[in-house]
Amino acid sequence: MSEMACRNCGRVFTVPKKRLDVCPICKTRSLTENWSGLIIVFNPESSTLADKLSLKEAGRYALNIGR
Amino acid sequence: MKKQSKIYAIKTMIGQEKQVLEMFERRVKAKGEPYTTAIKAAIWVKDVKGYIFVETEDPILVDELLQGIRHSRGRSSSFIDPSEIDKYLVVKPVIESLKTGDLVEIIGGPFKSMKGRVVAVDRQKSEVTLELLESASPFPITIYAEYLRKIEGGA
Repeated sequence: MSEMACRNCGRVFTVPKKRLDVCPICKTRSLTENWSGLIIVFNPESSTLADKLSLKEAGRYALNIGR
Repeated sequence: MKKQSKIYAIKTMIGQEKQVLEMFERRVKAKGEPYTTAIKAAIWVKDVKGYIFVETEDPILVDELLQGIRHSRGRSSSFIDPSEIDKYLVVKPVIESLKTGDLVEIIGGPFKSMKGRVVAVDRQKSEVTLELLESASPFPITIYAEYLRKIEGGA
């Protein structure tokens, strides 16, 4: 298992090693293993941190995504 | 009246921050209400060792969830000003901290886990030219800066 982040929407997913190359949320082919920092948003409507990062939906997001 | 959410630091063992955060996430989801409403977000920042941060309107619920989580060392009693977290939310690009002569480790791409010394930095393209230390012939290679991690500064 490996954790990959989508360069487009910033979401982080746990996927079987090298099996997934399409983001299940935004459907773009832009996943990477090169990411760091993790924010888990439970309540995007009332969260200051989610507001600062412009995150509108609950979920797991990477803070820094490499190429 | 609606409660104002505040950010609290949670001490963890160094190197186990992500594990504690993931365990915390699983517990919040498993317990459901009122935890999922009171806890707004949880964050792990790579540059802050030994801490994760939780945004909540009820810190007592965080204490309950933390009980028994391996590698967690409890919550700080006082809350943190959100502006203190801001500087970690926007991560500084690696290229800004690199200069000629720095020793770096390659953390991605075909040369992953090799070490090299920086011989040139192109800030416009975000590329770094380096000489691999483990290579028999020290020919320079150019690599995207995000694939590098600085080990130590050069002379």
